[in-house]
Amino acid sequence: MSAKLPQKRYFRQRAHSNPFSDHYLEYPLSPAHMDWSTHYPKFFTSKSDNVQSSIQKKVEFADLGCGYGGLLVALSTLFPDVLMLGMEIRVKVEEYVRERINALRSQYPEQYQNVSIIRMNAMKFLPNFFEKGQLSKMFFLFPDPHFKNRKHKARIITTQLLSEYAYVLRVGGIIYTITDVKDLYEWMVKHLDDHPLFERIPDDELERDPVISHVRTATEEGKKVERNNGDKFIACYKRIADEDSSED
Amino acid sequence: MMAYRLPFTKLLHHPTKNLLILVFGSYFHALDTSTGALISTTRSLVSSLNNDSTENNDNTTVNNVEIDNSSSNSIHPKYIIPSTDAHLATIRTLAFYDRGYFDNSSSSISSTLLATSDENKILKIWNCNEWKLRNTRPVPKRVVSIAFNKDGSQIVIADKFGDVYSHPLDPPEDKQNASTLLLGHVSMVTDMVITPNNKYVITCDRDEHIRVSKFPKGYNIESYCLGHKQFVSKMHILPWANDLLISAGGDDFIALWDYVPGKLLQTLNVKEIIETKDAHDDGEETYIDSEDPNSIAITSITSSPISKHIALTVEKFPGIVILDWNETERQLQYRKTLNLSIDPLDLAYDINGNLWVSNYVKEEQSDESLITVFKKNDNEYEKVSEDHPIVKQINEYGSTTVEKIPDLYITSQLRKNLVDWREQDDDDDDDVQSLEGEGNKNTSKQKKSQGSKRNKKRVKIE
Repeated sequence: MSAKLPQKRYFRQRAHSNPFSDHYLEYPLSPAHMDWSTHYPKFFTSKSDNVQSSIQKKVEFADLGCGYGGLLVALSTLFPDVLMLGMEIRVKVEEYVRERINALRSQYPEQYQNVSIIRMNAMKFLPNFFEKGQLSKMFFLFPDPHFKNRKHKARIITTQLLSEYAYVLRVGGIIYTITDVKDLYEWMVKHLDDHPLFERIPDDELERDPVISHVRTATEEGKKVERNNGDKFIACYKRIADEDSSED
Repeated sequence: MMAYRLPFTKLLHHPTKNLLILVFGSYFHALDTSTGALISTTRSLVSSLNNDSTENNDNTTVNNVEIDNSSSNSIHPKYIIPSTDAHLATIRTLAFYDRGYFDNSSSSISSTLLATSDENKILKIWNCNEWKLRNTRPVPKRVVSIAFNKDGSQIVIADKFGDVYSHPLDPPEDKQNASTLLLGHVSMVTDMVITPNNKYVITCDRDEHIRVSKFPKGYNIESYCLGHKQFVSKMHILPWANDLLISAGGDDFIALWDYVPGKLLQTLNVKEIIETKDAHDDGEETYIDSEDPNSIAITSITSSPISKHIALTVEKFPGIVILDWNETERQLQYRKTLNLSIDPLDLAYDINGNLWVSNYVKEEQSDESLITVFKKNDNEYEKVSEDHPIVKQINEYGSTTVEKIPDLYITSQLRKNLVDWREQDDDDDDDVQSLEGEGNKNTSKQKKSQGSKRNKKRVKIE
């Protein structure tokens, strides 16, 4: 039996979610408490095994606000040995991605084992999932622009949150951002530029990154912007070590 | 109309001086813990025993001048702070600056400083040597915790919206707001400490997190101390083991952390201790949390470097839980429970290891003492008689009178419920003009959130 891919039209949900609310979420007490075997069964036989193995794989890419999962699906085959996790706060959208990954795993039994999705508020609970310096890439693709001034603090890139992203991202790791909203682009650039632990990657260097084309086109949002001939603004930053600090 | 004395909601003892601050509503007293005498107050009323006397017929001079102590009434405080300097809304949090707290500090500030902040988002700094208001400034959000940096040049405040800012000790003349953002949580920050080596600022929040950030470079997170299952509301660094932190809140246990690596060293179940204690009494479960019969909320943690004891209070539990420090194991252990006839609101050790407790004296108990003192006797605790001058003077002076004792238990309100605290406050806090009357609005909100349905319990992923 070949599983059918889910249809997006049955999984529509309004685009906004309040990141400050107490949602019904399941999250581990700490990264050590997380059972990844349900997410990546081919990589983890069970939790008891993965505790014993010191060379156990860890999630390295996180797509925060991954939406319908287009980037995860595209990167899965490009980096088959890297575990990637999407986080999405909207219930129906998360369900869609889960069904999509399950269907892909059935259709291509040897593939898509390295991608998974969790319903989560990434603005609150990242340190529950990821240890210090665990991630090598973080994606913020077409995030909610929260247009109103008084909603700006709900944006996923803020001075305060960048410190958390810097914590879970290893030195040399990359934050990818893309948006079709110029105002949001300028906001993200300003905050990333101002943060002492991030340094912008020059455009020419960026073009050599095999991930960039997928950042532009793989997501459903990206395709929509393309159909409407909208602009896409990319800004990517490298996690750097703190000056005069002994870290890493 | 009956008038009742407002209980002392917060006690803060100076780490090296005989100085205890007792907060009640928008006022505070400063008390000499060696004698029980009042040093200073922002409430210039005479003894609470004369309830009919009003503020208008004050018989003391309210000019921040020394009061002649040879007068017939010996319970006049030495200094009375002018009412124009006092807070106008409930004091929420306070902190001392004491350079002795920090490792080899060489501060130029030799005087003792006290910082206080209220519901109306006013931050005040007091000079405790002459009991003068040093400065006062508005801050954008309600402050939940205050700490000073090592040399006392900066005052660090954590606000209700999860952000931590550093302010210069004295606001610059030209612009009122010279603050620097150090860090922020996407959650309500509930407590904050700066470590004695001045290297880290530790913050905890309503979403079970304890975050250890570099200080003053708060953008650089050193670690998280993860293991709480409910809100964290109190943290305490052990004065005799500066690398260790105790934390507590809505969980049944207190946790001991090696905070730099974020390593959980021990959990000690407090609920079991007070349940056992209760069974020995009359079996009446007085400590029960109104929202969940199975939960407790630990409201205060303090310790005495002399006895190496740690003392805890729990909401609605009429006793003090005393823990011992086991130096060889570097662990906490239960020592004993001090019984009280009234629920405690807060507690503090003085510099001689005596324990000061503020009593949540309700309407029907209005004759009871506002405070209870346990004197250190070897390593035991001896309750001081209420006739003893150390307790008597503060009871004679009293606090302020209210027609109804308010609900002073606010910790368990941090439990998750379906009301969005942050959205609720949005309108107030974004609108800088709506400073007045906010205390009242907030009360109604708290009631709303109290009455609301509790959140479905999060399932822990094992």
